[in-house]
Amino acid sequence: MDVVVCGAQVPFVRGGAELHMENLVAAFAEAGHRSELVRLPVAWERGRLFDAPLAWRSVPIDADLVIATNFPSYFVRHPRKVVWLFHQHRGAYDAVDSSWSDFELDDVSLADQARLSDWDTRALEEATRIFSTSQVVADRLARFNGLQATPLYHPPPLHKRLRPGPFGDYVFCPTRLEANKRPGVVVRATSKFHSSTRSIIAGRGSMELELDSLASGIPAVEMLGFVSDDELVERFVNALAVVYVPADEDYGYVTLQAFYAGKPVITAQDSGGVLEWVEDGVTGIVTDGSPEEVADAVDRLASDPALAKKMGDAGRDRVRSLDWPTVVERLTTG
Amino acid sequence: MTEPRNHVVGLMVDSAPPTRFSPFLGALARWCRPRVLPDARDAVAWIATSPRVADPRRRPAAVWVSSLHDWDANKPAVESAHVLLTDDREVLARAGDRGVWVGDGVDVRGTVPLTPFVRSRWRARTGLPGDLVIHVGPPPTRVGGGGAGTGDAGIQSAEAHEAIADELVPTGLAVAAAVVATGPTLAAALAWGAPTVTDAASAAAIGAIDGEHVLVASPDEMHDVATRLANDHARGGMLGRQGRRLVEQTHDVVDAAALTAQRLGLRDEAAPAPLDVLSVRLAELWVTDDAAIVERVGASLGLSHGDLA
Repeated sequence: MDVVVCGAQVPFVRGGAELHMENLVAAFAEAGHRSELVRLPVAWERGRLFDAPLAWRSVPIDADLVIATNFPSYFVRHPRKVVWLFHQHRGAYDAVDSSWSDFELDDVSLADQARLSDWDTRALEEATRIFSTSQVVADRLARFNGLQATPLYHPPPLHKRLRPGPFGDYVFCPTRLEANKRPGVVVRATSKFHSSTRSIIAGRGSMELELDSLASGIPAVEMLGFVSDDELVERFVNALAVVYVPADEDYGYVTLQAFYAGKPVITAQDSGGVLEWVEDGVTGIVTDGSPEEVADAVDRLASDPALAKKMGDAGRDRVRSLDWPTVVERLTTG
Repeated sequence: MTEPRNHVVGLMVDSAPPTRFSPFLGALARWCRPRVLPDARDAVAWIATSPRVADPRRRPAAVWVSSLHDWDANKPAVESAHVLLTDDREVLARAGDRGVWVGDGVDVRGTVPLTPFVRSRWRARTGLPGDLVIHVGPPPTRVGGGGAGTGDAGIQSAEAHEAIADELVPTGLAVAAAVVATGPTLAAALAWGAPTVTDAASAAAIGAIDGEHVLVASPDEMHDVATRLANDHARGGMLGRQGRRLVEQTHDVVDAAALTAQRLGLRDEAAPAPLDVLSVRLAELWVTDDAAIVERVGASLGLSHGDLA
């Protein structure tokens, strides 16, 4: 069948959502369908927030099936619209109190929030089925819009290349260097390691200079910046463990990639979707998110590689059932 | 923006027209120009606010029928009309395909429903307690729950229930974490998307289902049920959403007017112009012509408000 995947576009920005959409289109093609990705630019500031939803309402889509992914692409109109929700406009919902949200408590903000909630609900209600990328996203949808979604999990990028390897002398933290990913916790924790374990952080972002400065006095921290896919895979494969402590993550490819590489994940109790995968003491260690507890967890695994391997194996078992053909089947049936 | 309003519709009005006729007529004016004589000489159709005032020489195409007694006392006028407008369910049942339900006088389309989360933001804005529960309808309107204090919305919160002024009821319905609504106020509460607790008779009167649109409880339990609902955003959100859809489907005066206009042949079926299409898209999202968002859309497109509305 002809399948159109719809998603938002922020020109000059490329991240997990873009990879996710492209992988979905590829998965449809692999299953024998014709598939195209249709994206429209979106503006996040409140004054222009409603422009893109209205644009989507007027986009003619001729296809047998439309898969809408993130805000505001689910405003597309189609008799067979299936939503696989990555996220809504979080600045109006769960992240309303964050520094980057421009929704305040003034009357105009509140009126916009009411309008957006109402429109979101109506557009999502039109879908013949609603899936979400994780339970966290489904819970938000229930809390903020009174709608039910079914979590539909998928494998992360590079999953076919990731494999178990030796347990080296470093913990790996691949992440965008942004406040909500809390990379500073890893840097601060490293200064408290009792073992000789190093921390290797890969990624770029707006906190790069701040973290370079923070890490300058801590020799055990290595900041790689951007890394190629080849290097990313090797860093996963040879790590002792992966440290990933984001704030209320939607899904978190890093966790799944760590599990494909047979590595335990050290995370925080408020890391959101990560906790759907990391079970404390089974597939990783759940801390309170403080540098002290993260350091303790790293030292524990450094002193007991067998425990790290046992947790890593359990994590690998946990992701064994994830595959794209199942995702395609769920999205195209019913 | 509305469809062309070239048609004149004549009105036969009695001395005390039904109170719900006025909002209905306002909605009908989207598709026609309602006039009384002598300005209605070119009317393409006539509407009577009661069968008693239906002039047989002009054979009104639509007649408001308030009760079966009204019907039985004026059979010729009622039975010759193509459309029977009513807010009486017995009349609606007897009218069959000719009946048009004009609802409970709730301006559903002009009310933006508020989810539990947005309500909580409004309460934070106005200084009201987080678990505010209000009671509307018989017995007398009152508030309860939460800590003491008076928000700048003017709604007082106290452990003991206290009466609130009628003019504050819409504000209360908009910001409360949960509402106990009975009698004719239930439809209004649902129009606001309020998580609502009611009694069995009130629910049955508007076709609301326990657990789907509202929670039904006995009078002794209502407040406690509402207090629990106030703290359950997921359930409150689901009930509020589905309750709102119920009143949209059964109580929207614009739908009633649109149906009447269609049956009276007042709607222009010509292919819509591009801006009409945008107007339709906005209407699908339940945006009224006078909503502030229409002006913003016009500004985004480089159009004046008049082009769109």
